[in-house]
Amino acid sequence: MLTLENLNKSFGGIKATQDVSLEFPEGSISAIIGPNGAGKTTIFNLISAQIAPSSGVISLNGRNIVGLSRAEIVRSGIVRAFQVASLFPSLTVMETMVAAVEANSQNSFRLMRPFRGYPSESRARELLALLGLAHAGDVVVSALSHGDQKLLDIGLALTMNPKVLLLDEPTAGLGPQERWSMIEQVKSIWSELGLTIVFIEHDMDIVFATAQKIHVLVSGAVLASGAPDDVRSNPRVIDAYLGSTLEEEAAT
Amino acid sequence: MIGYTGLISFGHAMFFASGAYSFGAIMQAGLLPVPLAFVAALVVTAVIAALIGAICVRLGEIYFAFLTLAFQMFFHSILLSWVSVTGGDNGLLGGIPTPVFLGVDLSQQSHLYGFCVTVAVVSLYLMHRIVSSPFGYTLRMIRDNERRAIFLGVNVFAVKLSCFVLSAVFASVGGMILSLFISGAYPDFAFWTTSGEAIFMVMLGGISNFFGPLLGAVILTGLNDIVVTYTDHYGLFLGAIILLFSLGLRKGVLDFVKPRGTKTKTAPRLPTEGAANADA
Repeated sequence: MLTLENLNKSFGGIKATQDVSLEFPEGSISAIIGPNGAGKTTIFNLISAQIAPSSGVISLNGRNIVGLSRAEIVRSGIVRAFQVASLFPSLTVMETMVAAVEANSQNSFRLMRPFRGYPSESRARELLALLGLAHAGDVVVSALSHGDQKLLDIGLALTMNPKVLLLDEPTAGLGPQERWSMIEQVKSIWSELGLTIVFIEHDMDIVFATAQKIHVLVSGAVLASGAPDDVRSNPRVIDAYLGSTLEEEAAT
Repeated sequence: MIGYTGLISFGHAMFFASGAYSFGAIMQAGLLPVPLAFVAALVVTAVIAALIGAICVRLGEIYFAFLTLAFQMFFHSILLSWVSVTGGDNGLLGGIPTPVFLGVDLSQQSHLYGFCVTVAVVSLYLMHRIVSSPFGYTLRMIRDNERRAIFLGVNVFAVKLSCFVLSAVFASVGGMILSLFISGAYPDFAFWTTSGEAIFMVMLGGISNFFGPLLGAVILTGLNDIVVTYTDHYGLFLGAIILLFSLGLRKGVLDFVKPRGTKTKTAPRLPTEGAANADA
């Protein structure tokens, strides 16, 4: 279980997160929602040690992980995928996955043995099948569709054998249909690997259809936390966030 | 190294020269037979490259290029001023003695040629093995997206340094072969134009194909041979051709050859070695 207790982060005078306390039970899939600037990505940055909290505790299975380096966080099993896919444009999909698996198995310095045809390749093949990218192994990354690039970015995260996977807007920049197939893929990865997944998402239909638990952030503080039905009917959430989103959606 | 890690070194003539000089000096001292002197010269170069590389590879592209250039000028002036060992301006004179080893007599043209071709082919084979290994793909990851490579747990500094040392070692093999051919070593080996020529070769032949730099070496040396028979203004012609390639085509010859349809292949490290000398 990943737990945040009274987490605070200030940038100068601005409080990006205020006394945030959240729980992500092992094997659960939960969403963090909230308007722009609510501090959602800041929470991911804090968990993955991109930035250090001003105060508060982050613990994984009871062990405080504040103060660990980014690499140590990854080794402890918390891995994130980025909002904008960050890949190796000139490699093929299969090469990307094999190279990442090799890096994770400390094989980056093997000079004389061939790259292909080793156990890392079958691992890469497994993961590509899980991502639904098995057919695209020989495609050069720069020629992949936006959605498939985002999937491959998640694939890179999976090569690090995560226990907790943080996904920053997995459907951002995708068309309406691609969004649903992306989130279906994320769900199948989740159920297949038994991971704990936390995702940030703006599309409320996707959030309510996917997450077991939803955490609503406004201005750096937790406004509500709970099962989708509780959050949907919470008057404060409707007031502060959902109401305005629904109006926006109606307007557009 | 240019193609696979995106690092452009203006200093590889230094390693070309360090190979030639250390090999020449060891042979002149008569301490070791040819094969051992060969290995010893490789070790000397590797140590120098490791020291310089440790400083240079931490830097961004442009600073890396300039600092390697600076170290090379420094090395060049050491060659000029440390007369007792290097012969200063004159270079290593008096010929490089090549005692017969394993029945190979390098003073005979046919043996010399065979030896050099063998060394060049073995070097190319090793380079090919390296670029097709997990290490080779790690270099491609770093070239494409260094930050992401770090995030995947790659020790980027160690990988870059290894690549720097390896490419220096291959450059020094080239220097040794040349020193055998001309039976000497000259400070010009370490002058920046030698590095520049190597980079021209890469540009001419193509950066995205393993054999690009090799072809570039053939083109450049071929051009050299043809042009000097007509005119003394060799530099003018060469400059014009380089301009044509860099401004007009923006690619080397083999960059136009795309292997395996959608699959884009990538390119090799500096070609100073075998390539420059197979036809020297």
